[in-house]
Amino acid sequence: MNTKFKRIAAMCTAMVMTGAVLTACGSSSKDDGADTTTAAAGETTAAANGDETTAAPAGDSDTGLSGTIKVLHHRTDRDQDGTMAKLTEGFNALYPNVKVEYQSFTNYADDIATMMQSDNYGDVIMTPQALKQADLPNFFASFGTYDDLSQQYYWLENYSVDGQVYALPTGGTASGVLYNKRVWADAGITALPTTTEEFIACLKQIKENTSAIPYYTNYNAGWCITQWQSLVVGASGDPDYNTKLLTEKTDLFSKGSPYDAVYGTLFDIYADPSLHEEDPMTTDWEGCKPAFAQGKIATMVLGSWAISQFQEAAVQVGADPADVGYMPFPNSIDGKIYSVSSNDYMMSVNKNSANLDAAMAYAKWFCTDSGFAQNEGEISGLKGAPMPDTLSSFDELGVELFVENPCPAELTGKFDEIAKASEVDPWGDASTNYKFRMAEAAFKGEGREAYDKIAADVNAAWAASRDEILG
Amino acid sequence: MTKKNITAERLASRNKLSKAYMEKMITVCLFLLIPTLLLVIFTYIPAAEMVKFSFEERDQFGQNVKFVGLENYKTVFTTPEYFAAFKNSIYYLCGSFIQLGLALFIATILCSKIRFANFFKGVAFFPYMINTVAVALIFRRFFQKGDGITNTDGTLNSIITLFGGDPVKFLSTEGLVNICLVFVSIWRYIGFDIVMFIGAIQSISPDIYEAADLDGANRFQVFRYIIAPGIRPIILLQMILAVKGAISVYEIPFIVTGGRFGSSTFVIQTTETAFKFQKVGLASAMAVVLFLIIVVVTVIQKLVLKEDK
Repeated sequence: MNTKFKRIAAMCTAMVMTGAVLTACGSSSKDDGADTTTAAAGETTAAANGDETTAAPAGDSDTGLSGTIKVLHHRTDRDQDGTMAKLTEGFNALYPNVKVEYQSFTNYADDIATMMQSDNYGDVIMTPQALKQADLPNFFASFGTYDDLSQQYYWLENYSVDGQVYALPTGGTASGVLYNKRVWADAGITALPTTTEEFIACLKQIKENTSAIPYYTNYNAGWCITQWQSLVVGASGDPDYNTKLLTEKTDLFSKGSPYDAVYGTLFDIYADPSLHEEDPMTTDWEGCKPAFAQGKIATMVLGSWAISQFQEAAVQVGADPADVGYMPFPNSIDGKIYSVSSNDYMMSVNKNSANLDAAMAYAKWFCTDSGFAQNEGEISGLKGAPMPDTLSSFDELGVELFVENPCPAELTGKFDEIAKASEVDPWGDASTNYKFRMAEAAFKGEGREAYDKIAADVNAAWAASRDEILG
Repeated sequence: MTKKNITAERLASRNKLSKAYMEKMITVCLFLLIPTLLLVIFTYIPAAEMVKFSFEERDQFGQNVKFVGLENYKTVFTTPEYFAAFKNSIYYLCGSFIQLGLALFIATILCSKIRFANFFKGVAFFPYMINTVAVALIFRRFFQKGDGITNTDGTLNSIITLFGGDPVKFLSTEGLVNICLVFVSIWRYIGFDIVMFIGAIQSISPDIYEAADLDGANRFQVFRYIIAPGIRPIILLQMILAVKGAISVYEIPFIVTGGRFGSSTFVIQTTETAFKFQKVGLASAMAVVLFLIIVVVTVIQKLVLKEDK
């Protein structure tokens, strides 16, 4: 009897533990050991310095800032290769008494959400994208007013509440298509496509004339397909497109709509087995970079942030980094091609920070003078800064690169709210997302009817949540 | 000896006894303190919190908390898509019974007098110790169908072509993908079953085997009449765990395919609801429902199998 009871108790424990995956402690167990915390060694110093720094309240003269600040971020690669440590030297030249420590996370978005359940989530952090805009003041200190700061920085709209700005841009990317110039030229393509039909014709031409894979879906890495979403607003050519979806209550998918242009193209490419790799479920993101550089892969849809990574890979395998080309999504509107630039991770300061002023100084410096965005080949978040070299092709092609307009105050955060409530989640990569449904229908050769059905489902779910939330 | 003396002695011995008893109790409590504390902090409190969450509407950051009563449960039970994911559990259920049979077979062999038994035990248990992320990489490569440009055929397809067959897209074909994942799951967890069975088999007194030997019992008879009844409680426990595992399968499909190509499960949907759609309340309700389903299934299983005392 006793042993039986024990067994049942053990089993109940096991079951409860499965459930516990969901609660706060569980979120990091998802990746089971994949989390790398690089700054483990630095933590002891942080704790030791903690008392001393709280004792000296910040607020003395600007250069006299002192204390230790902890920066939490997602770039494990930049922690490991010493880029972050090098950045600190530049910061310490201005503020010699501030000690900066870094901690980076492979699974940043989930880990930071867990840490933010307490007050202890570093001093300067990359602003979690899942956080609702209206909740920003609950966690972060204000950098100043929107009216002031928007003169200087792009992309503050989605990170401002009641005229106060809670995050600054670390950099941004343009939307478009990465292509191997040499392969495209070898296929005999002389002019870049200006319509989606031409784009697919080019891919077919590459299939016929070269041995490269025309389009690499990178389907196994779930996030790769979300890159197509970044093309949508660019394909509309309208800086108010997302706002109009709410005010004019248009469907996402209708014949010729930006969503239809983008995902219809995706569907047609994925549905033609000759245009993409053989086995989409066993693709490899790291492995595709050298393969692309060597001309084995011709085309991929990726944000412009990818350019520098592919150029680095080209150098590593002895290929020519100049072959890494970037073009806008070829959906021309009245003969003009557009691309939209949008922010990468933003940076915020923990409002509970013991060294608020030092943390503020660091975040402002990082987003203004650190040169981080330039080094990464990203678009600077500063207005008037030169375009990165990686996007020089846009000038040659006469592409109009625009930034989305802020949406009216009463609609702030509504787009995200509808996206999550309806589970349409245009930026999402849940396994039930319409992007995966379309891709798999295409892989299975189910034809355009399947696409139309999924599009109709998306429209219905979106409209239902939109009408419920906007009234 | 006077009467008084006896009483005093008795009292003294009683005191001594109770002192020893107290000491024993303190030792037991101290030993139990840390595991109990860990269990309460990392299991029962989070689980209780989760039950509380299931009556609320909240996001991943613990913001915008709103009490909604049974609303989340209503959503769970009125969304048939959530329960459709349980059909994939059938694959894993079948797989786990194959796994148990195979584990029992291997454990029996390893307990008989064979050479390098310890080495084979190690081999069988090894996959259980590999990091799941590594498992995903291994099997992506194992099931790969190559295109001859960026990659070549994986292990399985190489063997198939060696015997003149055509390579198959194992992971990119709906239906096939679940069978592959069940295979991975068996590969990974069978070592644990084997070790459990070996432990149980070895706890059977060697005298009984000797007696059976003298009576001229063959291998099958030894298994049928000595081993099987001897480890019955462990077999029943493993069966319950197998069913529980099949209903709540998560790790392998999540890391190998991310639930795509029709390989999603209820728990994958639950985590996505929480962390992709920011509906932590609803996801907690899904987890509670899963917990209740497992309890019900286990009770039914217990009644059907009726363990004898």
